[in-house]
Amino acid sequence: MLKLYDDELCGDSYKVRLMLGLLGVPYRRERIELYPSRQNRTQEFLAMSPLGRLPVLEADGALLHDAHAILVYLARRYGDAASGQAHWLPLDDPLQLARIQNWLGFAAQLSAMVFPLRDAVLHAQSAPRRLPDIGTNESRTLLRVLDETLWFNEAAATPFVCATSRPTIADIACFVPVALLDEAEIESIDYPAFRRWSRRLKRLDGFTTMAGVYAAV
Amino acid sequence: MADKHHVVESAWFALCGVDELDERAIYHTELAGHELVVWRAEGGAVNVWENRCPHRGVRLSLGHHRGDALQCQYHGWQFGTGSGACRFVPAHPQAPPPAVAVQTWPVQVRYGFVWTCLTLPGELPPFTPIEELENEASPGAAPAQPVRLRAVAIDAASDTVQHALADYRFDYTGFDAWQTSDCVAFEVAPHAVMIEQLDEAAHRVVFLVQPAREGRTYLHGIALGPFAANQRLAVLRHHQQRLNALRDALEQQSAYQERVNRHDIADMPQPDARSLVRSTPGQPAVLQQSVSKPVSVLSSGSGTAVYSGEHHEANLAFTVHLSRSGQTVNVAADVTVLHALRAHGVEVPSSCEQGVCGTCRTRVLQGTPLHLDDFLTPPEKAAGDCMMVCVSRAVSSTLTLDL
Repeated sequence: MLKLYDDELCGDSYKVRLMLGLLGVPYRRERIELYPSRQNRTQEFLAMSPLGRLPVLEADGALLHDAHAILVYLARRYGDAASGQAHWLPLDDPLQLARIQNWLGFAAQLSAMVFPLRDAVLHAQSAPRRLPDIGTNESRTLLRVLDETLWFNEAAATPFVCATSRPTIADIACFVPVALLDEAEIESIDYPAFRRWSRRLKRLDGFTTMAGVYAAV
Repeated sequence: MADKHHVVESAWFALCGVDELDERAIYHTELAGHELVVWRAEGGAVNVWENRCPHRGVRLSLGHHRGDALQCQYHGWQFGTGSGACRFVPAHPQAPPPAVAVQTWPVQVRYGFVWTCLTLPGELPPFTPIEELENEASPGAAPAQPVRLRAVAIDAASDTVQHALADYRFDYTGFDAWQTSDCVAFEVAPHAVMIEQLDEAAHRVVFLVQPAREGRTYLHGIALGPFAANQRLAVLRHHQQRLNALRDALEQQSAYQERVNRHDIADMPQPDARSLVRSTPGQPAVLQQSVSKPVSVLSSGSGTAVYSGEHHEANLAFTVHLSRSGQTVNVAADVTVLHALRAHGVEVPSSCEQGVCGTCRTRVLQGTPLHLDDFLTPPEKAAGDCMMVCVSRAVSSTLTLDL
């Protein structure tokens, strides 16, 4: 069985739990607490993940790092045509594949802005050094681009991030930082397309919640 | 959230397209510093509510659409369409719901948009029709629907945005991103601007300005047809490019202005919004008032309403007599009636302590209360026979309460 080393409150860990839930894949969890005990800095964990980052997935005798890499693995390992889940990472269309890579990179950028701010809010830590810029211009530009993209994709009846009619792993990767904007105290009022897209994802079978991310009714 | 003690222009403003409310959406927006939620009940009624649960103040936009009610995410209280009255409390399923309601605002659905006016009932101004949109919507007109553009958020003041629209240019021939033809702007209503191409096609687009808060504006647009079905997306993208350019130019300008105000910079060249937006120099940019719709009667300060002015009495001390116990309680300048009573061992049931939930409603037998709550209706306030002791005070030097 798969073994996931993760933390309940870690955004990148949530991306992987969400994917596992949507694919309906059973797994065991090993909790590595980031805060306050910093179990990711122990010698044992650093031996598994040299950068001390979560999540880590033990699968097929290998240790996988990086949430987006794990999404790729899970989508291809378990998302087959027979289960009707091949849409998460379709390989037959080169353009589509490039778009997914593009938006995974975007999601990494967005996560790198939102998650540290959220940590600062939740744990009352001193804010990241570049806080003023992060809070306004940089994240605003990213969020505007995402909202506009989603709005136009919706207008073209392909309402997901990569202009597809069914979600891809890029939607999972972008959804988590968007869902955690409030906890990072970044306003989402200017981005109405996020709400409709989020609700679409929340209504998928197997959608998994986390603290601060609620299911749709 | 901005305080309510400021003047809000008493006019109708477009908030969102009605199709934004599909699929049980709870649309979150802001008007003049008031956070609002817009939602449509299953029966079709559209609601514009303050985005605040009267129980513990949590945003209703975080909650759930329950068909004919909104449910707060925090304690699950449900508020019904129309009145906004609480109709169910999960913790007390058998008990009648408390007499609490969400603050609601008037609603009009016109031209495919939801409109509201932040004015108390009784002071509601009539809706000023926009003839250019009426014609488009009438049944006998062109068969093609107009195209509603994506709303754009701009970090600049609404009058700045409205003024800058005088330089708006577009061109559908080939949908070239930077090609433009001459256009002219008309103010067709106090917060609406129409841009018309000065060529034979005379394509038109109408923009509706929503002042979200100080320094932030939402701009709604409708491109008037007819358009072929396969043209609509191109029209949307064309205007989006132009609007993004306008937004970026205005934000650069207001960021510059902010830095000048802080004396941060001395020799930075000032960006010119006009030069960035227009690509046909020499075209006179005139914001004309529509011949069909003179706006002078409505656009000036004459149409404004004061919510609640500055009350000089608000912080004065006064005395409260309690008719049942015969006690007298002095209420100091910076102490609420509720707290003064509590200090004297008199408990009044209370919940929000912010004048919104209605729990601490208390009968006034003598004296004139100074109402500072958001719960009582204007007639109830005028009657003066009850008050919310958590926030309200006294105009007279003494009050007698039924306690």
